[in-house]
Amino acid sequence: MSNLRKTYEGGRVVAVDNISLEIKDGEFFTFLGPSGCGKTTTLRIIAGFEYPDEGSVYLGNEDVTFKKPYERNTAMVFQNYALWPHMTVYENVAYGLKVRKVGEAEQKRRVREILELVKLSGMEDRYPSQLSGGQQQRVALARALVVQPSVLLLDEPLSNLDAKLRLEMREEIKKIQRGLKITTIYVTHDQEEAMSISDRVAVMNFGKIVQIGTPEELYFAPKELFVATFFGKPNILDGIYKGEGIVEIAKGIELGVTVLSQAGLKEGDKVKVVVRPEHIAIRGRKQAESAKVWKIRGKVTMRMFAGATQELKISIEGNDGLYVYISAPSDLPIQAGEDLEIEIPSSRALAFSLK
Amino acid sequence: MSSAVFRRLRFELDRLLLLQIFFPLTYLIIFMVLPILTILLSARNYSLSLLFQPMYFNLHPTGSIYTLNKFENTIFLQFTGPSFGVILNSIIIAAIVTASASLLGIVVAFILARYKFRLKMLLRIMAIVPLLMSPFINAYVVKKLIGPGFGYNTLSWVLSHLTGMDLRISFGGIAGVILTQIITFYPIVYLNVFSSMMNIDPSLEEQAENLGSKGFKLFRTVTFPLSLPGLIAGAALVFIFSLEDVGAPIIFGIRDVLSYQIYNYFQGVRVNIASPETGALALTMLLISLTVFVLIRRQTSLRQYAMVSKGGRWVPRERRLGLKGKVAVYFVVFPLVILTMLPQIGVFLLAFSERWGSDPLPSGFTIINFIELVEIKGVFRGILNSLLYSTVAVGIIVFLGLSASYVVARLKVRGISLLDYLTTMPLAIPGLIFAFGYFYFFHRYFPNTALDPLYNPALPLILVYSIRRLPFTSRSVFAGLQQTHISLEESSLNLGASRIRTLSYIVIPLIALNIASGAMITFVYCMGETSASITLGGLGGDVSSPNHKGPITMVMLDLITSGRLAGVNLAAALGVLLMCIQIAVIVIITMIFKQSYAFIGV
Ligand SMILES: Nc1ncnc2c1ncn2[C@@H]1O[C@H](COP(=O)(O)OP(=O)(O)O)[C@@H](O)[C@H]1O
Ligand SMILES: [Mg+2]
Repeated sequence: MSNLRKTYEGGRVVAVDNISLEIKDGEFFTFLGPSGCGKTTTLRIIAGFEYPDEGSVYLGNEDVTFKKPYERNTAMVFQNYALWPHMTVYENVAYGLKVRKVGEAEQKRRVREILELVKLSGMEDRYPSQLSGGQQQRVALARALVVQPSVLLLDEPLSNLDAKLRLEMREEIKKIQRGLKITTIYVTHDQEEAMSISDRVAVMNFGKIVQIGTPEELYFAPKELFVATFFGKPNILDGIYKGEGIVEIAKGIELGVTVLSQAGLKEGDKVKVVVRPEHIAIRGRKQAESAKVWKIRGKVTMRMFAGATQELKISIEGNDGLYVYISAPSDLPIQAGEDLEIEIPSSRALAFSLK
Repeated sequence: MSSAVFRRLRFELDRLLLLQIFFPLTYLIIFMVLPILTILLSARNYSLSLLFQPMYFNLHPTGSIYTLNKFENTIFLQFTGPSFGVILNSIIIAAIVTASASLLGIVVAFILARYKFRLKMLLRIMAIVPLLMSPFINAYVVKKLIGPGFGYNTLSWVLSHLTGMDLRISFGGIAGVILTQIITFYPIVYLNVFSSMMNIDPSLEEQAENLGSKGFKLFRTVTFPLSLPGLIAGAALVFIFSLEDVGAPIIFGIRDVLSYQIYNYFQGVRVNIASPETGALALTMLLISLTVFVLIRRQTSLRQYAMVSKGGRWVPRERRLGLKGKVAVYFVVFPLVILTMLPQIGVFLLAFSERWGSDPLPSGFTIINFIELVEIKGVFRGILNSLLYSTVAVGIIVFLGLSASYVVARLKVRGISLLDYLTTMPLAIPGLIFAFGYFYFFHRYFPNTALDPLYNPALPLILVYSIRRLPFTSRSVFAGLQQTHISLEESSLNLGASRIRTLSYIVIPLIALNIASGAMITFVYCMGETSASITLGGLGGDVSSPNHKGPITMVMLDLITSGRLAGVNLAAALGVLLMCIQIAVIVIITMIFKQSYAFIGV
């Protein structure tokens, strides 16, 4: 895609703003961003349901920007599955093959294979209304996969499933994609889903791409505050940059930080420091993952049990209203009201300029 | 800019969509817009001052509202109504009918929408009986019931027996026309207001009650204003229907109205004495109804219809009736609604009786009238003609309606709303205007071809039907498309299917029930079409010739007005036939298809 731009309402709503990127053959690529940021629009431009105001879309070396949807070899799985209620599972899945004039025997074979792949063998004669949500999802996937598209497009395919099924299907999709080595473009607003399933992720906001990278890159080395805060529930501390990797987060309390953003920082700049709860250690009880740590004294003011972990709210000593959250293994014996010393590795405290 | 527009069009349109736009557009322009525009042409030769002659526009009316006479012990009270000239009469009648029908319609709608009581379902069914089609013959029955005549009419007969006095009350002339039209048209208001009321979010009324509003105040401040769109649509349609109704004026012998004058033009055409001023009168009628159409445009567009038809998302609020309410419902509303059913009941009785002379009720049970429908060649010919014309028209309409509705529902290109307007406009254009426009346009520019009504009215009638009844199918199809998520089509296109394949394998099967319902309703209303049928249809010979070209409704009018022996009984039998077809279709659509049967109106 190069310089894609799409506006609605006579230019007043910019849905997609100057997007350029390249997706590799066989890659699992995800657009991630909050609702309304332009993910669906981007996907629909790729599928050919919309055309961009500016820019082009290429499949391989071919410019398909103004090709009709049925002239591109893409296959989309819709958020609501869009299964045809008047056709059986078999007819739904075979539709694309019929359109492509694949022979009867070949059709049968391919539908059978794909239904096996998505674990729906034996359901051929059912109608969509006789299937559970998860099964409908699999039919939609099978219908898209069976035509061997050059790109598989998935628009929030798991959002209508319950939590447990969502995890299962996520794994399933990943496995199938790996097996078929099919280029896949995935859209979601769920950061955890994006991280776990993708080779690369493009984080979007307000129609723009904020950062593209592997899940690890986005998690450990976000280039912008938006990306850093988009994953998990990080602590965000206000502070003043003191130079040489030091930020003052409250009177007399300093923190060693890492600056990743390209803009750079000057002394006296206002900054936000992002620290993830899971990266904060507790002296003597939870080991820090790096030796270079900054120590701060605090008091446990609240403890919330969350199964495998416990979440601790630590008020910083001598600073009313300043606190951080820590995530620790739930078997660590910690009581509310306890005084302790926390350790923040400077490599995990990311400072972003407010400009 | 222009290249962007061009690029956009190229992307959005393909050959099938272009066909779906241009076929209905061209069809509507040739067979609706052009014939109607030529009415302007035909009126051109007359200065409009002509219309202010006393014959058309008279502020010093002739005749009085009623006359009271007494001969010995017999009291004669005759309501007739003064005449204000052709144009003013039409407007005054339409205004009175609209106001009265609105009042009655609102009351019935409100009671049915908001209260729970025994026999409610029965009242709902009874309230739509007047919409069962029995053209001309229902007006005839009304005349028998309350109109002037020798001896007693049914009303006087009942009153005399009740009071013991010899009281003869009759409603004739304009008064008769007004009463007939109120009875016939009030359900249009009722249905429109009812659907508006059912679509009001119950929490809006609950909030008002919560703030202390109740009873009539609640109705006046919340319920009524929110159901105004339905009232406006219903009232406007009643106004137009009253304006163009030619049945009641013919039966009650009122010539001083626009509709009769235009009808009369066609009577003259046959013998070459057509009045040339008719063009100006047709133009007047067209302008009045177009004004009204502009008023209700929002309520009748396909898009608006779809919004209304989404009703029933919530459980509407229903209250129990208090004692006063019960009295009002059982002793006022029920009797009123029963009165409005009398014409249809009378038609049934008449169809199964031997005669209804100067007695208060028809007498002599027989089924000979139904046998004669087949045996009398001219009558049977009318039935066959109607079946043929309606079937062909429905075929055209399904094609037109499917195309136009699809485009309006799915295409996001500016200017498409024009097609929406054109598709729904026939609802508001009087049939007589079509008839006149067709005659003027096709007789003048295509003389002695199949399009010339004077040469052969068959094709022009099919064409008029296909335009006038188009809204019934297109709105049904549109509603179906609205309920079908667009992603069902997109996933087909995405898998490589062409538009035409997507249309025939995905779209049409998904909305098949809507198409079928729309087509059946359309068929019913083609069979019952009157205005064009009796004017254009009358140009192809009358019942006495076995090969005439007229449809059922023309035959009915012929039978009633020709003074033929048992003619009215035969006409009533035809009316029963029409009503039975309509009832069958209502039952199929609501019980088997589980769709809603769209009566005239929103
Ligand atoms: N057909 C449309 N008409 C007008 N605005 C639209 C249309 N489609 C999307 N938008 C707007 O474009 C923006 C991006 O929408 P979308 O791509 O659906 O976001 P996402 O899928 O990321 O939630 C939103 O502000 C949305 O309101
Ligand atoms: Mg979306």
